[in-house]
Amino acid sequence: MGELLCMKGITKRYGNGVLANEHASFSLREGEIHAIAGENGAGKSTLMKILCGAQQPTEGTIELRGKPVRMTSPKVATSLGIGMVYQHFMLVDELPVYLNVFLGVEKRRGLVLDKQAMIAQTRALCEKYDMPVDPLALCGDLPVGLRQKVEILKVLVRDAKIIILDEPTAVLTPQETEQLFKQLRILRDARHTIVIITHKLREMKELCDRITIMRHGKTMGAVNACDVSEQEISELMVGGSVRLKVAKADVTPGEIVAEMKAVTVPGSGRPRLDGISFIARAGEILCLAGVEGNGQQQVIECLTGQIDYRGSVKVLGKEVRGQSVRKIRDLGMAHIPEDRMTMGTNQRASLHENLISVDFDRNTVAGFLKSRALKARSEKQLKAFLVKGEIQTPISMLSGGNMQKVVVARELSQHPRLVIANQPTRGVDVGAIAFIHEKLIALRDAGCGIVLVSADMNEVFSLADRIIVFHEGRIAAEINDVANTTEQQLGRYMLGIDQMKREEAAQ
Amino acid sequence: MKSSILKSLCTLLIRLTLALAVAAIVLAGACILMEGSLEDIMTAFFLGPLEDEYAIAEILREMVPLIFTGVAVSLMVRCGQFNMFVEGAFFGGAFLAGVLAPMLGEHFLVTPIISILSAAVAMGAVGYIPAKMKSSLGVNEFVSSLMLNYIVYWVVMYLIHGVAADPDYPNATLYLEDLMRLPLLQEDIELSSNLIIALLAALGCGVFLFKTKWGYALRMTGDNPTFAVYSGIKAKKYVASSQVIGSALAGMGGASFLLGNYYRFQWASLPNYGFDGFVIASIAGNNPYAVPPAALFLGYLRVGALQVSRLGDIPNEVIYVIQAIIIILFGAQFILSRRRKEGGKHA
Repeated sequence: MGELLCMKGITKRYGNGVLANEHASFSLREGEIHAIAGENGAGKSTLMKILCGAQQPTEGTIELRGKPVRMTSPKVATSLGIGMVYQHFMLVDELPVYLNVFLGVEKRRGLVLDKQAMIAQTRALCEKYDMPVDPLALCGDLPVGLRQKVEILKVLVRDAKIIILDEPTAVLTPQETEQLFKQLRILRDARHTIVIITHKLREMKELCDRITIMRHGKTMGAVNACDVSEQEISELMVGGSVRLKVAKADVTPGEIVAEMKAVTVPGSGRPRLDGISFIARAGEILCLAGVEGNGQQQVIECLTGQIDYRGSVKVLGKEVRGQSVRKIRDLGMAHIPEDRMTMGTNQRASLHENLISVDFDRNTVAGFLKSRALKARSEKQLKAFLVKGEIQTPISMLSGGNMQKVVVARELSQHPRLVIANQPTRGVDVGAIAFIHEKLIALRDAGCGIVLVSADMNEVFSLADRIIVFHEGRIAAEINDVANTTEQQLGRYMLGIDQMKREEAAQ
Repeated sequence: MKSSILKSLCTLLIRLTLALAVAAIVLAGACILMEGSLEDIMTAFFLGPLEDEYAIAEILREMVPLIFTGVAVSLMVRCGQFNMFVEGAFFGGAFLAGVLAPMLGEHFLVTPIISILSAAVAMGAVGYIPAKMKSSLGVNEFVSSLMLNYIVYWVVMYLIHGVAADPDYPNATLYLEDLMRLPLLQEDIELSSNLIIALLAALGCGVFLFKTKWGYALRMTGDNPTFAVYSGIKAKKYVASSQVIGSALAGMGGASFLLGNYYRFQWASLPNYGFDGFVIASIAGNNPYAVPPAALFLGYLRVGALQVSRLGDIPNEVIYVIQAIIIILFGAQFILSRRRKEGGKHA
């Protein structure tokens, strides 16, 4: 197999002096699935943006089929058969699928759009690559998994031979991920070449032929996926050995820190939560597992006082209903939200301002913030949580992993008695994941109760002391013996194939 | 950190230069059309404001309302609120001061200060209407406050034609004796001490916004209400109170301006100082500390324009064109930088 594409000595220096790529090189063989792996901020995305013309390299050359090319704009890259599927979808929700697919390259007959031809071609593509998308459906009505397929169709319709996907599985459920992998394999077999940007070790092993590993803007070399173990990949990524298994001491659960009794939250159609009851205790990590959209989110919203509910929700002994977020927090609740961009951080503020948001009003003299003391504290927190940045750095300058560490630093520094962690490590690099896990375990060992929502099986199994599985707003299973449960069994509960009987759950 | 301040100062300087250059070009164009002397006009526009102490005092007088409304707008925009009541509050505050001061009688400093504070409280209270409608019912404050301006305007017009009017002087409030007004700093050039109140207001707002817990909560709410609510900040409270404080500042501004520079209230139309506040706030990047320099800049331009219009060759309208262009220049930059900030966060 010859080389299809080759990037040599790519250096990218941004205007603010940040060096995103330094003499990075990358080569692609025709008909392979190639992973670009690395921690957040390692320069994966920048390298791929250069490849598809969205960014210009400061130095370096790109060769396509042996001929040097210059990707001066995404249009040039498209005409050379390179297409990118971005992590944040760029679709017009109000338009049907087929118009989204052909947006910008519409088929016309005279002055009018040739709708029939576009619909037919979209349908043909869907059939060819086994994608269950209805060309006439409105994009806004589609679930995330299908919206991603529309993005892929957009690239295919522009005759892309090289398809780059930026963290395609970050937003998908395990089942959708499985399906996506199937389609990517079909595309590969149809002589397409696929690049995926990812930091999930398992995906690389499972799906990819070769892996290019990046660290600090440099390429650490390309390896065949079958030749390396997950452990080896992660060592190459972070440059040291990382423990994937977390050591946990045995702790006997203590008092009840959160309790739900017959909680119902109405939704359009079936209720979002349908008579949910459970308790969470101090000194244990209770994991709420389930495919996204089965009620875990609503449980979090109830516990943190964001939505109204029927039934009874108690946090640290107090009924949540009618209490302000401040009061619930004052009881000793900390909350690591799922969405760190809009909820967990203020992107327009500095690290310091982001770190003091939950208790600034307890550190004042006559209304004035105790600026010096708070700044010293923030500095200490940044150090303790290994955040790369100064207190005055705007948080928007940080990589995703560092941003999440700021959120975790703020929440866990409050001496909480109950931590609500919603996808605390989603989109975070391996090093930061291990770090956040350690912090959560340490809190648990110190007698803090932790309610964890996670879609990551690895995380569930390495952290949970107990698992409650949600399916369609109900509890499908309550697993006390985590060590003797297999991923397959958990998966069956999550999909609603199996249901644990009441007695079993009670026992 | 230091380099970033330096950088933003540089960009501000570049924009100021650009604004002046645009003004010069438009003036030159008008000059050719009107067949005036280019040299005279340029001299009048750029050097006229510094010609003598009267011109300089004129700039300082211009600055007072601009500082008050600029600070008021900055505070509200920092909390994400686009409340237009600054205009009505400035007008209403001036009227109230014009009515109150004669009622209180001639007491050095006491009369003007009580009048100004009362105007601030009253306008803050009126400003609570759109504020509460926004925070509790989600009514767009932009539209409701714009309407409120007209309500205040016509109520004042009604009063000034009747009960509040001077029987000997049509459509105006009673004459303000010297002791009812704010004292002058410089008798001969009629420089009023309201400039000091304005500067103190800007300073106080800066301290409030950047040093106090309320200011911090207000900024967090404005930057990202979801984040604020999640953190336990009562966002609704700040959405409402920022508008009340802004209205009060504007009312205070109107009162100070009237008691410093006028002898009775006889404005027949809304003075537009509230809308100027938005221009000043965007030049100052919604930073209260930067409001006085921004007001100085706009004041300088206005006095330059005045000097040009005294030459008689160029109609006043050309000056408004220049102002509009400068506003677009700054306004566009303001919007662009915001968008860039938001777009950059996924990088």
